[in-house]
Amino acid sequence: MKVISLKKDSFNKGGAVITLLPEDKEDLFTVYQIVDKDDELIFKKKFTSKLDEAGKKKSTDLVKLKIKVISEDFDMKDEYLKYKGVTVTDESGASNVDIPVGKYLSFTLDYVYPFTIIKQNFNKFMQKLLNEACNIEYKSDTAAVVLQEGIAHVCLVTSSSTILKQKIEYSMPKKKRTTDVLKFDEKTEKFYKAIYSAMKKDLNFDKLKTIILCSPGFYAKILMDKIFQYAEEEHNKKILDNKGMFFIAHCSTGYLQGINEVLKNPLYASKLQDTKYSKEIMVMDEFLLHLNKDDDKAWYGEKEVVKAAEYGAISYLLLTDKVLHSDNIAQREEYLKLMDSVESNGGKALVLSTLHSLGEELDQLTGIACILKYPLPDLDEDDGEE
Amino acid sequence: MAYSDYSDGADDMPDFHDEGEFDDYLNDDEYELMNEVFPTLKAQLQDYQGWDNLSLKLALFDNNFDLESTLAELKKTLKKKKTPKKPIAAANGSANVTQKLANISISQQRPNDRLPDWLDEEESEGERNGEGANDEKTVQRYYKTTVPTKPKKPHDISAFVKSALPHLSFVVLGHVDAGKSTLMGRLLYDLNIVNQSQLRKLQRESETMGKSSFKFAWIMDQTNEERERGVTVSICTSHFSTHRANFTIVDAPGHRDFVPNAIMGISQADMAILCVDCSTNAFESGFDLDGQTKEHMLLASSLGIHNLIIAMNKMDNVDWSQQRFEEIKSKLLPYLVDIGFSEDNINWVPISGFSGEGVYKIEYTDEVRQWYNGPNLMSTLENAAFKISKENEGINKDDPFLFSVLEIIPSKKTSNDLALVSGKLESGSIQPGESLTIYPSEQSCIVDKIQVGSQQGQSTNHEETDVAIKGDFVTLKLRKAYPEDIQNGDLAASVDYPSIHSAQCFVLELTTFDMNRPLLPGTPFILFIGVKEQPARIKRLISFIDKGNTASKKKIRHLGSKQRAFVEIELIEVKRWIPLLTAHENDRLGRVVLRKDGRTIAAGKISEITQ
Repeated sequence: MKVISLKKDSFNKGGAVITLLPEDKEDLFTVYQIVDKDDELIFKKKFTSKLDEAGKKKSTDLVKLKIKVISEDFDMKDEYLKYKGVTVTDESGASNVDIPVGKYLSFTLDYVYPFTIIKQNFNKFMQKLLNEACNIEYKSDTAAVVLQEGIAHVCLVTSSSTILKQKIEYSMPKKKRTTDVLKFDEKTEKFYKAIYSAMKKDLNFDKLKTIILCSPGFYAKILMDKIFQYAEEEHNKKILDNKGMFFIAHCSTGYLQGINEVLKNPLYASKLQDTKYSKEIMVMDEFLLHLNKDDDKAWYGEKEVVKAAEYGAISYLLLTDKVLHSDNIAQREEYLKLMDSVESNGGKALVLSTLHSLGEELDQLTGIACILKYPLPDLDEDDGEE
Repeated sequence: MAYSDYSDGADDMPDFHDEGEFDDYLNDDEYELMNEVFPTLKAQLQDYQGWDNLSLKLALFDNNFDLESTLAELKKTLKKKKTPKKPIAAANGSANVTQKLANISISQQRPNDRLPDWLDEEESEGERNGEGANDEKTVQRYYKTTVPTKPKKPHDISAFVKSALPHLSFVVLGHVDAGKSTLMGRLLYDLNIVNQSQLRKLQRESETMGKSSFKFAWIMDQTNEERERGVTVSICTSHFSTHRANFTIVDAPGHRDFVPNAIMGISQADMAILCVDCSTNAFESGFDLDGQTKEHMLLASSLGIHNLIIAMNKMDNVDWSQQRFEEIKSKLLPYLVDIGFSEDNINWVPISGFSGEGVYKIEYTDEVRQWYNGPNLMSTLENAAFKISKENEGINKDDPFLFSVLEIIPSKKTSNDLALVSGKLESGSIQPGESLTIYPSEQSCIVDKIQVGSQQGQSTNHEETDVAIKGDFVTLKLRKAYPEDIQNGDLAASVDYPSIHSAQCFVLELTTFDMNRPLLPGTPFILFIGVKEQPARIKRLISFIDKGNTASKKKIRHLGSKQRAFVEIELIEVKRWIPLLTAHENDRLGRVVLRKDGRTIAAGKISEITQ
């Protein structure tokens, strides 16, 4: 992401005007988290207009528009972020020329033209998101292929999301005493070939740092051999030059859960870069460990976490991006204050992306949880009530 | 396509797929005539919908290129386009709808609109629906009936049950390298299903790979992967008969990575043989925490298996020592009783799978007979078959027919409505001519033929039978079926059976085992139900279950090791729902197992199907 300008409003505390150029899908997610309903956007857009009566002369113009956001549509998988809004008056007169106020328009983000966000409630968390988005080091994509007999998932693991690129499913013939082994081998070969084609189609080898192949048993090893074999056959330079990127790991299942299993396995930690996501997995695992020990150091649920924060006892606060981007502004403010108070007491706040399975897990778990510095029993007891 | 081909074919016109094809069909004069009148006709019909170029040209052709009569005819058949509605005020909250309406209206008022058309955007609404729809449930409706059909040649079931040989299916379990596949190979060899020359061939092959001790195992392990690595990967089913009973054996993998396959094996079997390696230290290593001996037994118990045979294998390695036999028994028995097996339902048989003693044909030596006077493995199996078929006799008659699909056999003829599905009768009976409904696709089919697979000598013969009863492994030939929407793990039931529901969420009565992380709302795991495995997660922790088997009032925030609770489960991938039965309806089919990070963490019974 390129931040072209960021002007804080001198009159209105919290107001800001930010001009940005997103560069990849991670940036789209950052923008998605920053822009809220009722924020205003100024952007350039191509319009095809028919000016004469016969409708024959077409002219395509690049015009500057300003809208107030009404709704959004976001899909990480398709790298797609679109805002719908209604045109508003622009005091400067630079945009919305010749366009009446109150027209419905949409704006799909691209990586070509910078655009401007006018916000009334720009906060610390958003500032942090922007800073992270501008830091190239945060951006290392890992690809993962997780497989078992007959099932494979080709995924991209970025710092904010796990994107399933393709699922490959083959029903393997059942083994019987009379099974035709040749047929079985044929089908197996087809299966690996399908994975190989999926990887070629869906992964951009230039942008990747690591490709994890993981499976129970020996499927991942066979897959790697097959990939190199196929690559040799068709002289696929992109793969052959990047052999060092491939890395085999063990997990217990060919479903997506297998990837998290690999990421949290300390055996592989040295081989995988210390990504933001793997750090989150470790913290979440610690949370679960405390719960399992029943040592009163891990709690979830808004009421319990707020109470723990009042004691200044939180060492890790876990939140999902969803609660920080909820339509309930009051609640959102509440959570931002919570983050501030935790950090001022020496704790750390982590925001888990719900585009990862981990964030999804936390989302199911009320969206908020914490690990404490010391045990605090009975945080879930109601004071006086019941 | 040349016109002359049809010149003598009177006025029959071929079917045209597109405009171009029709243009080719016209001769030169006609083609020119067509080009003269066609644009005028098209312009006249601008206000009508429901036509395309081809249909217009065909109409012109029919009317001998007379513009007026064609136009009159078409105007009668085609509908006029709807008149545009007035645009709705823009400040409306439901942006989506309003915008679409505005879009329509403005595009139609275009000629009068002097303003540039701002809403004529570059991209269309429907642009990106391609891949996003992946996870939606696909619903395809088929013919479904609830009226049963009569069998072709009705048989009295209870008489049939009495006359038939008892049938028993068993799964062979145990730690990796306990000798499961070798034992099964030995059994098949003793039964003459595998003959001397086949075995010699396997011996040669295994010797060239330096694994001569694998010759029996390779009868079962046939794929290259399995042979190179010396481990069983998939389950392997075989059928055989003695003069006293019919058997189906399922050889399961022992390696921890292939426990999912072992679960599939267990869910198909009536009872289990646990293979134990009695060699020095071998039993101990398979019995410790990470060994599969315990996990397999836990799975068998959780999935509703009550009868066990413990095959004390490789006894030749410890000189058939009674002391070793008793030592292992004393360690294993308390564990088995602890996880729910009854001591009376466990039989202990000393054997050597490789040399064959105590399996079937090769007798025990006198030395062994001094301390072991029980039956050999095959006799023990036959006894168990009798016992289990006795148990079934009483309940067979009125039970509903239930059938779990294990495999769809691809048919060479794809055009017709035949399907070949093999699987196991979980309950009741079926005869040719009767109807069944397959879930979750809910298609009703008629059973045309029932085939029983049995292996005689080298080849598998498919014999037809008139009746199949609970416990049988059969292949059903179905008519009126849509095989493309039948999958492994689907359930079939008699058409008037109401209790199968396809669902995504359901409540489990769950018992957790040793876990190192608790279960929380949102915790993902792999759910095993019958021969299906599915990623799933906890949707809701409902309540603990206390000692009186009732819901406890204690607050439930997370579920730790060795606890019992009611829990609602949700499948993560919802593309195709899975057919479910409560444990109350069918004890075996209503049982599930949960695994996470390669460990079996809990087992449960379906108590309620929510949605």
